[in-house]
Amino acid sequence: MKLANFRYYLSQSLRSVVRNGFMSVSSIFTVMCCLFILGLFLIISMNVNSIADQIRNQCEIQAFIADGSSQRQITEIGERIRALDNVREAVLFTKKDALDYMRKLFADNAQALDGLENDNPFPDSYKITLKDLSQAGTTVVSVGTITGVKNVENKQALMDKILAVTGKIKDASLWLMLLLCVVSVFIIANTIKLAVFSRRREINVMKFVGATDWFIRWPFIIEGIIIGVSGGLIAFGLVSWGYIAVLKDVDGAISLDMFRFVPYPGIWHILLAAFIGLGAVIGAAGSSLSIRKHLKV
Amino acid sequence: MITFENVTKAYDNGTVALDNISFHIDKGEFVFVVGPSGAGKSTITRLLMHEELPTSGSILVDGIAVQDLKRPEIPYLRRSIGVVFQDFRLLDDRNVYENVSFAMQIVGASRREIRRQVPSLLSMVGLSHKAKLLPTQLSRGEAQRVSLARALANNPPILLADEPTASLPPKTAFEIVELIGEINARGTTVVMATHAKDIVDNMKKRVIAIEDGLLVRDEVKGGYGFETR
Ligand SMILES: Nc1ncnc2c1ncn2[C@@H]1O[C@H](COP(=O)(O)OP(=O)(O)O)[C@@H](O)[C@H]1O
Ligand SMILES: [Mg+2]
Repeated sequence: MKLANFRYYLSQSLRSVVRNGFMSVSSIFTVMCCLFILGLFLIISMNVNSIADQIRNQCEIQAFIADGSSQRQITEIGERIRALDNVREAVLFTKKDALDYMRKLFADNAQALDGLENDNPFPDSYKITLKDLSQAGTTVVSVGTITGVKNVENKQALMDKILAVTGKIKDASLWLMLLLCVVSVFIIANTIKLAVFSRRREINVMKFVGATDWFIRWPFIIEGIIIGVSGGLIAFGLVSWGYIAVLKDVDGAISLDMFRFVPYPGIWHILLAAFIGLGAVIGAAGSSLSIRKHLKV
Repeated sequence: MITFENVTKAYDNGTVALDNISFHIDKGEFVFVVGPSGAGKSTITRLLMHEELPTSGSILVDGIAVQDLKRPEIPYLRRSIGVVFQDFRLLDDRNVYENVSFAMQIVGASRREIRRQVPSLLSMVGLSHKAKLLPTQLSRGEAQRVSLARALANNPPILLADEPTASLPPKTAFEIVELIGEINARGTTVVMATHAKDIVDNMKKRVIAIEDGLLVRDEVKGGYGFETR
């Protein structure tokens, strides 16, 4: 593509976007809505992903220590746990830690826990991370036989359930995103169809003065891309703004160790690339579809 | 420059617009294609432009077999043929200058070439002073001059004019034909379809007459020849 040509295509496309002002704006708006919803699901997916990762990393068993064990006994239990083959790490989670954790969990209603400091009902425990999760069952038994261990909780079943749910959420959002992309493609195709009709005289002239097929097509393709990318950029702005607001509101309230939201600075460039890329691809696909059908060159 | 060899064109609905037509036009000639409405004159233009394909026979433009061209080659054929129509086909949202420069942009001409060529075309058709006007602000004769300038923008060796004067008042029609004569005098091969008797009789050029798709006459310094209704 020659530079002179590109300049021409771009000016033609912009001209057409402006001339079909109402159509352009409404299709930018629709694409924006689709990409906005898509963006929400993208963010949800990212968070679900990150939660799943966090869960996987935390997939631990917890060994609760019998009440009234001495400090020495507790340390000894820890050493015996760490001596087991499949144990990567065992971290002491004291009664006090447990209470603090509950306080955090209750957040605003933490006063319900007031007064428990002196009569803390939570047992001391070890949080144990494993080397090989598939061997969790055997390890649970081994840990259970250590004297002073009251009972062992294996969170794996729960984790498996959560992972299954997050997997389903991810699948569902993927399909929904795909659907929204298809909808956007058709909306752009329709706009380009109208642009082709409103310029049919011009296209006729182009043909008889000897324009190549692609010379006639490019401005329409670029017009579709402009609409797609514009919608994408606005959607990016809205999604970013919304997510930052949500993070600000929510982060204090439920910043559990397990469910931490993906921080915005870590994902904005992925979002931006996704929005621009999707907008461009959707725009190009929409206009190609329309041109194939309506632009007989 | 242009050769029709036993060309027959039947449209999809069965209408036979051209029936086994043969003629040859040399480089630099000025040829009138005459005949009543519906005779098949425009079909000749369409075949030359590869807008339609002949049902049988062959068409040569500058040695190239038009009917055998592949799709990507068609634009290059069209660049070697300037066309003007009865209805001008100007773009109403562009001024005179832009209507002409448009034809050059389309073939990828540089801005420098365009800046050099367009004013000289406009001065040739006598419209330098109206470069900034929109087609709607022009008389019909002026509009046809713009379309002539556009047709010649890329220096085609051939100019096809399909009833270029049909919608013009007589005096203006003569001026346009004179202009086309000047263009021919500069070396462009001209094929002009018309059913304007007085113009054809006056110009004393070669006349190819067709009627109901048949070539009925090919005279070197011909007249219109048909009865006018
Ligand atoms: N696209 C078409 N489909 C069917 N018939 C056509 C088409 N174009 C022209 N014709 C017919 O072919 C004949 C010749 O048409 P045309 O070449 O336009 O004549 P002219 O230009 O001499 O008036 C006419 O009978 C016309 O009705
Ligand atoms: Mg005709």
